[in-house]
Amino acid sequence: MISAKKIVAVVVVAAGGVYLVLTATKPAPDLDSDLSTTVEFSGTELDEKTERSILSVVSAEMMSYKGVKYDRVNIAATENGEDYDLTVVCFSDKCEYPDVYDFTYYDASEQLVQTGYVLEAIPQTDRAEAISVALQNEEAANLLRANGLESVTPTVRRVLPETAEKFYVPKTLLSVTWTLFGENPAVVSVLVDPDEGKVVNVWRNSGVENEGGGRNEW
Amino acid sequence: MRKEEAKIKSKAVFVLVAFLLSVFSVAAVAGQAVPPQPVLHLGAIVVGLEAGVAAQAAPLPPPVPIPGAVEHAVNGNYTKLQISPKHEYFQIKPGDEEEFTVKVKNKEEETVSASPRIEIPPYGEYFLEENWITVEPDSAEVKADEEKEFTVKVKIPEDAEIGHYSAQVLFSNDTIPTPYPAPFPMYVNAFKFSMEVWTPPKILIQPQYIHDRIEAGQSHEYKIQLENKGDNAIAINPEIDGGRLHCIGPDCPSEIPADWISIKAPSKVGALSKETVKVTVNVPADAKGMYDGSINLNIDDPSIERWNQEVRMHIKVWKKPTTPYREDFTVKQGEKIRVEIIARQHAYDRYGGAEEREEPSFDVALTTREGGKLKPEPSKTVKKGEVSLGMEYLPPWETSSEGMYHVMRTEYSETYEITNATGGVWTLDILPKNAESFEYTIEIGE
Repeated sequence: MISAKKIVAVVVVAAGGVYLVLTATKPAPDLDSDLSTTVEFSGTELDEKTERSILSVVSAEMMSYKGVKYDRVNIAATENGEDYDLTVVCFSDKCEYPDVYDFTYYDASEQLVQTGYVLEAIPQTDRAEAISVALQNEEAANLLRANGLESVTPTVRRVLPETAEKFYVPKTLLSVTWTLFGENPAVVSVLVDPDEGKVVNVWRNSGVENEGGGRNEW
Repeated sequence: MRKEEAKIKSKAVFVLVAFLLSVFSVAAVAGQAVPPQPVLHLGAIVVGLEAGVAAQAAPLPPPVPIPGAVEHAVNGNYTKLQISPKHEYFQIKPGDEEEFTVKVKNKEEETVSASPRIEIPPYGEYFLEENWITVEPDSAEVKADEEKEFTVKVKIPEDAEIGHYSAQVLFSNDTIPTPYPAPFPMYVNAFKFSMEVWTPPKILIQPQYIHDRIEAGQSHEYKIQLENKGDNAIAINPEIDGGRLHCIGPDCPSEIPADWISIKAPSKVGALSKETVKVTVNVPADAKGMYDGSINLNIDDPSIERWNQEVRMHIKVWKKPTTPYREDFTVKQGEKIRVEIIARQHAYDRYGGAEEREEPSFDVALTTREGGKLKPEPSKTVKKGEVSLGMEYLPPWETSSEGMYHVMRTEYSETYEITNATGGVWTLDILPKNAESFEYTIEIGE
């Protein structure tokens, strides 16, 4: 059963993340537009208590990119036994692409476990700068040329500090990735420190090797 | 690119030297004058090397052996030191320091006195100064089968030029014997290193590649944003930079004619500010096919290498069809006709041009001689997608999105159905919109 319900929540941006504080179950036009986020539930119909509980735990798990406010959040719930699989898509008017989080919500314990994320809600200027920094890395540029990836539009995704720690230091990084799909996909990814404007790691899956070495296979 | 060029140049120098030496040797032995026009030979050799056919392009005269040299080489009459590592390559910024530990193992049966010294090869892009390198200890007695460690420190001055450098640390004066005079001694017991002195570019360029499809007779404007992160204004002088196509063959793109492109740009990018270079491509109505070219931004920032200052352009010029594709087919009276038309798009085919493209669609007509022209509405439209869970496409720092959906390919189709068709010859007309290619299927009967 598909349903869609709109909720307007007040966003409190704090150091730890973005908190959606539920204020009403209908759009409230008198809310300060700079603070309001429209939350929409879809998929399996949930009772109000479950929606409130989900909203409460989900909001604590979402963390937008610096300077980005989520304007719209869609929470799609799918029943999974007694629990719910949630896909949370967060849109910002400042960004072309959304942040997407996958969670499993355990109804009995009201606990939430994150199962994945693709975070692309990055302002266009930051996105462009990350690509530019990546392209000016000699190793990456050579790999792109060698694998015919120059004309591919790259994805730019946020890498959260807990993941970044394994490859650099625990801080938000941006992953700029060129992918050529097909039978033998070629992927070149560059990990960029947006604060320093520098490349901290370069990875390729296979394809043509960068002449002169400097490759990093996993 | 610079590395490759340097490699080609090194090879060219090596072959050239070998060639000239051979020539000089032949001349000396024969008591004849040096053959004229060596410049022509140089050209032939360099071109041959670039084409990967040096041997065929410039056959070398046989070298004249130096008496005793061959025996010397065969006997290996030099100090046997095992140097590890033998080679290093690194990138370093002005003012920075790099340090290596080089292990020297004495493979002789007696003690060897090793006094490392620096040798700067008299070729290459830039020359290191000896005082940039220190080696410790400055000498050591290495007993038979003993291994000593030497620390090589390379300190780059703040005012060093950006570019490629090389040097070697010699642990003995032994050279590789050659059967003919060598232009530069080739040392046996050496640690060689090459390095690129670089600084982070002060200017960021976005985009560096324009890949677009333009209809013939139309024009598009592209904006290249330059951001100066430095404390001083940087001069720019963008210009069309064509004529460097390396593609050979019938499928190669043509060069974008200079008169198609106009550039509007400021003369400089101020400190800590952004500027936009506007590139307008005007495609004539009679143009067709693929075109490549580039814009050289001519940024006055030595930290950005030549090829990194270019914005490469790949333009596909196409003509929007005005007449439909036509196919005749025969139907028996009362049969059902089903036509399916599909346009596919791979994720990587999407153009990074000036604007978002519309979704594909088709104008379809079915005509019979008896029944006239039908312009049916599609009975069904289908949008399909191929979606990956990312397993084989994700870098290690994006594995958090493994198991989530990644669109790889989309497909749009329209289906038209005619039931109880009039028997006879039918004509299918398909006029595609926003689709570069399409497939169709005509099914006749139930």
